[in-house]
Amino acid sequence: MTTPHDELLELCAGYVLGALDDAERSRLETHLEGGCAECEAALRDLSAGVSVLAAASPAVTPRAEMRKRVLDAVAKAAGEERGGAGATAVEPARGTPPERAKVVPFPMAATIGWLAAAACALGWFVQQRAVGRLGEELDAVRGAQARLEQQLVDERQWAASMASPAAKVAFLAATPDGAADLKGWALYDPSTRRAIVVLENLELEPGHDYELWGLGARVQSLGVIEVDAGGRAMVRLPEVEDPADIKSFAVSKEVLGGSPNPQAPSGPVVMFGDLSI
Amino acid sequence: MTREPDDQRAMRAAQDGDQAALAELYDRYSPLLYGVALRILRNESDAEDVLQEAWVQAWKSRVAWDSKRGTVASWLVTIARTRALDRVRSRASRRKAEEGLEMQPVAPPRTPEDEAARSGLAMTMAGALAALPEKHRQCLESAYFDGLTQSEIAAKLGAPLGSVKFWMRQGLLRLRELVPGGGEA
Repeated sequence: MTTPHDELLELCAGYVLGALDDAERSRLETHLEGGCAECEAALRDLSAGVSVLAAASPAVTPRAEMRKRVLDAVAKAAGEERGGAGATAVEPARGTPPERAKVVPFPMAATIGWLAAAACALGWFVQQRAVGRLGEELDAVRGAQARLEQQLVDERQWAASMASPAAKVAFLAATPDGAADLKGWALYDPSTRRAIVVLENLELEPGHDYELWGLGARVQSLGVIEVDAGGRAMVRLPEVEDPADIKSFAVSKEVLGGSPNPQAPSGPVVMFGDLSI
Repeated sequence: MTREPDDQRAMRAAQDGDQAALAELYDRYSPLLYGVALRILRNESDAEDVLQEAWVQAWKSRVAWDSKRGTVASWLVTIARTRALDRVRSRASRRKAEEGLEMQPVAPPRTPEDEAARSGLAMTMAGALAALPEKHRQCLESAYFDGLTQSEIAAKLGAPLGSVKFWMRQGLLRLRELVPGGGEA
């Protein structure tokens, strides 16, 4: 039976998404003003999901000019806050500041022609060196661009795999041999033979490695897992050997370097999950 | 990987009146805020206006930020999203008045750097979202990016309101499970 408090808990998801109508929102806010640990905990849990939602949208770098426009507007707001009209920008405009015009005394004017000629000669040498340096820099930029383009091609292929209608998901949970808080998921696209596996709470122990396995008609090692200091790992498998063969994923705890046998774990299996159909 | 300690330091400096600290946050989070605004508004010019409004609002209301109520990133995204949805609503009412002028959706312009930036954490987030059941994902996206209420989503999907509430709650909790701590970045 649904209690009035269950109904309020049900509103929490809509609240963190800003998807309640006015009457529902004020009903929940009135309840929260009275203090409710259960609803507050639900709001915190659900808010974490909202943050994932925001971060899943593609990041897009605004035009470079926007930085100055935005920071000038902030400086103006700061100036108004102080009650003064003389707001200043956060950072000075990039480039050489304009110099104030100078009055040159007559004796100095006589030397200006010589100085100009010397400056021209010096400028020629500087320019020649700059041309050489620019050539080297241009080569470096071209190299970086080629690497970036290749990275872009790779990322597009990964994105296509993740959005593939053929993709299957496995949620990995701890086995009795693994710590209870182990969790993870795997997304596997048989059409491209690509898989992504994300694992959490892997405890790093000296002398041990974790190894990923694909299980089906046979067992195949998918490699030793690199775990970061936070116990998290994301594994990208660009070409799973036998796509028809994988029905489940598993993680075992092995000696350094992984199991000596690539067809079977030698240590305990600590995580396991079946692929969805 | 979370940047929250750096964010909190910058935010506290901004609260003390340091505009350069806000500039630091701008450099870190403008692609995220602009991406969310573009996704909602589908118009570059409007998204740029919203980006500016959001940062000015962040400056003006910086003392209201409280680390106990959420991360700096989620606070900034909430400001940008709210401004963007406000603009969608005012644009819709203006369009009603003007009648017939269709806004042409534009694909968000992407630089190679943007695409590359989708690697790692952003790809994980997108993957987690893609891994949700279709109805759960539709409910979340309709609420978050289109600003629809639960009743409006129920009408749009032709589904009972109770189901929409359930899918929304399950979807959010599933995202949290799939990417523990991911939204803090």
